[in-house]
Amino acid sequence: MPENETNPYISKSTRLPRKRFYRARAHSNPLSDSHFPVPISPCHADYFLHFPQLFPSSDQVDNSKKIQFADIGCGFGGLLISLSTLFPDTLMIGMELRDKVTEYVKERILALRVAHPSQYQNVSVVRTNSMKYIPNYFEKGQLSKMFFLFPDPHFKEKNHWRRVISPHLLDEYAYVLGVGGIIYTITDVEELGEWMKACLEGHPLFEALTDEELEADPVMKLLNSATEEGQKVARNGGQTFQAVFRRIVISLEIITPSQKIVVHKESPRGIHFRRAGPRQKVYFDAYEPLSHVWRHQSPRDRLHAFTIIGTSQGGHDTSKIVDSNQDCGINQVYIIGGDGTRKGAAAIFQDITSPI
Amino acid sequence: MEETTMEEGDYNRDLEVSPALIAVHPSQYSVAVAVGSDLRVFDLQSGCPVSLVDDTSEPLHKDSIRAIHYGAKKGNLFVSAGDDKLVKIWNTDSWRCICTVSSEKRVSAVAISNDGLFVCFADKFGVVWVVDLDGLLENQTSPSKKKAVPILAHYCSIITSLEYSPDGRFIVSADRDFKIRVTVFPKKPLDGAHEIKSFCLGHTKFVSCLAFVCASDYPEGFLLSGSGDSTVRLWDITSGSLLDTCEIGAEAAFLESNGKEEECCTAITNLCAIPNSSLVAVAIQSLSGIVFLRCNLSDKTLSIAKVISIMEEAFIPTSLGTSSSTKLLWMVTGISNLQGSDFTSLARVKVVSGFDKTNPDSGELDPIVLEDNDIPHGMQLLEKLQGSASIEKAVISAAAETVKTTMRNTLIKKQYSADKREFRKRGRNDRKIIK
Repeated sequence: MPENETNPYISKSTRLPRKRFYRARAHSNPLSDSHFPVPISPCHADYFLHFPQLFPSSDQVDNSKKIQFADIGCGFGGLLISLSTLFPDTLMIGMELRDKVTEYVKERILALRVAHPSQYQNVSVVRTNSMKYIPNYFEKGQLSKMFFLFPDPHFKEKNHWRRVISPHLLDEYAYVLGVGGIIYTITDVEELGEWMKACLEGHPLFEALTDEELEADPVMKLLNSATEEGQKVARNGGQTFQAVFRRIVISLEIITPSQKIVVHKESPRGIHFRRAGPRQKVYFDAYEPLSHVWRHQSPRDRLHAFTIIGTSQGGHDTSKIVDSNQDCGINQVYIIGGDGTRKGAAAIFQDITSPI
Repeated sequence: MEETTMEEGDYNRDLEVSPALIAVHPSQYSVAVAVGSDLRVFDLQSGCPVSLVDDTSEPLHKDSIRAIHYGAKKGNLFVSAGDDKLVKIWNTDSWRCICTVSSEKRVSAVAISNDGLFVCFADKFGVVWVVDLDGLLENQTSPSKKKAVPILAHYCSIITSLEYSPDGRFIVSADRDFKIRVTVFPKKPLDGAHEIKSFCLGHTKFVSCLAFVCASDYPEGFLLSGSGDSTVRLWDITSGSLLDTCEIGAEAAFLESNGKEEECCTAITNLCAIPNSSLVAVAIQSLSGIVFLRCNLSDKTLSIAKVISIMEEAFIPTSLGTSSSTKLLWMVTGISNLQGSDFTSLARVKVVSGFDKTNPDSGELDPIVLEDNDIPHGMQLLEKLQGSASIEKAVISAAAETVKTTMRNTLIKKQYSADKREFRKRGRNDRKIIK
């Protein structure tokens, strides 16, 4: 179809599909029985069809590369297109329930791939009901970012449970998100914004990002500007409400052979394993001798490793770790993790044992 | 779903039938059968029928019972629930209803935590609720009011089965979509069960039943699931990985060898793991009889050990039960709302014995279906559980046809042809066709 010069669906100037031929309803019933194919399990997902240049044949599937970003309800795909060039090495997929819209995004990606041969190979779209079938597409902890941009508000109270962010669905999102993965939500409906924020705040597996972290995140700027819906809100001078949360761990089986483990003062994530009562995060004072479990995700094998030392967030700053440990009087460090973590441990060991 | 079927005009509430259910006390002190709204219990220790005591309401259940369950380890609790949206919790010593919990929707599955502290039930919208039983057993004088709290949900899909893992750490829920979800059962379940351990994905149609098979060297157990795709699958719940698949529908149809292609009716109805053995009894929609599977836990494989056909009657079991103490497998077939018959409902109980023995000649399993008189407490028990001691074969055969299709019709998804779907879309104005 894209080859046809007279095809009215394709714009003559940009060679992109024209949105007005893909008009769709604004809403779709998420409860209806679906008639589209769903992969039986994540290992049946057809990467080969979605990313033909990166996965040249269906037999030699490179298991190391998996989809990491999911745009749930991607609409006309504006965010995906922007993310594609911002994170050229990350595979991402848009999930949309409305078939017409999915068709549009598909055509759009194909046209962009033709126009920019080396780009847009890392994005794709699939028609699915993510509220029902998300575990069929992603393994546990596979994703690092999930986007829920301008979802259907479902105003009526009796329809609230159809909202794509709801307490029980968050369990599934927490399952597919790796520890440290981020969930982005934005809406122009204040009531829905509050609802999504309340759901995420009430969920023990999510915690809000700090303002500094939001500031530093390059994706945040795209939430308002990249999507068609966001642009519409901006045109009309509307307000938007965001809730951005990180996937954390609660059920820590804390291995604490040492007697004194100290909370690092600068720890931006606070302490977030829960004690006693429901829906309470417990924040300890800095330097209170309690276990601080610092999450570290090794990017390759996605094993969740923990270091039981109060340290910096992300990256590896040997001197900071060593200073922190000396300040706190820690004389034993147990490190659990993969190759990278062990290398980090070796660096700390050398620093400690070096003469000065 | 309901809307579309109503449109099709083939959905009639009056014609809805529910299959008969059976549950056996873990120490085989009693056995319970539910048909329609009728709950029948027989005390096997004293050999007499039990009359249930419920101070709150009369009759006990107003609509079809969809799930019955004994409390896992000690068996001092019993739960029944169903379409009347009531979950009744019974004390199995006095058979008094100690608690009635109202559900918002019709209940499709129940489970009792291994420590007997919590009852979970699932409704037709896919929400699993938990009831805290704290203080219920001690305070037996008055039935107390308890409120259920939602802990997890399958998004808008009927939950067909709920099971606790043998170590009690996980709760497993299976749904009508094809999903099996393994959730960490938290220390404080009233706060919700948010941590999903794994999803067991591999079935292509509805999952109808779950069972755990344990052995002394594998105390954590492995999960078995039966499905409308006529397979039984073996899972490792910690990783959600599929260990083995037994295409039992195809095999059983072959073994039955009456040449008829009845592929549509080979859904697995029920599974029952025989305690302290590697055997699993499987009830299949079209098979008059029962299939025993052997589950080799060291190789992690499933194979058919024995198929028992019940030729003299069309006995297609709708539910299976067993206890950990004796080597008897209890089976029931039957339905409520039997059309065109003197009986309003039908239940027929049979017992299989001797599946722990092997034939000395062939080395094969040699279980036998007990004659009615050989069943513990014989006719007296049958009179209570079946409603009458003897049931005419003609009635059973008439019911068998209905039994064959019952579960399939309740769980299978409507498949519309492409034409029909196009027709349904015709009223939509979101497509612009350029001529």
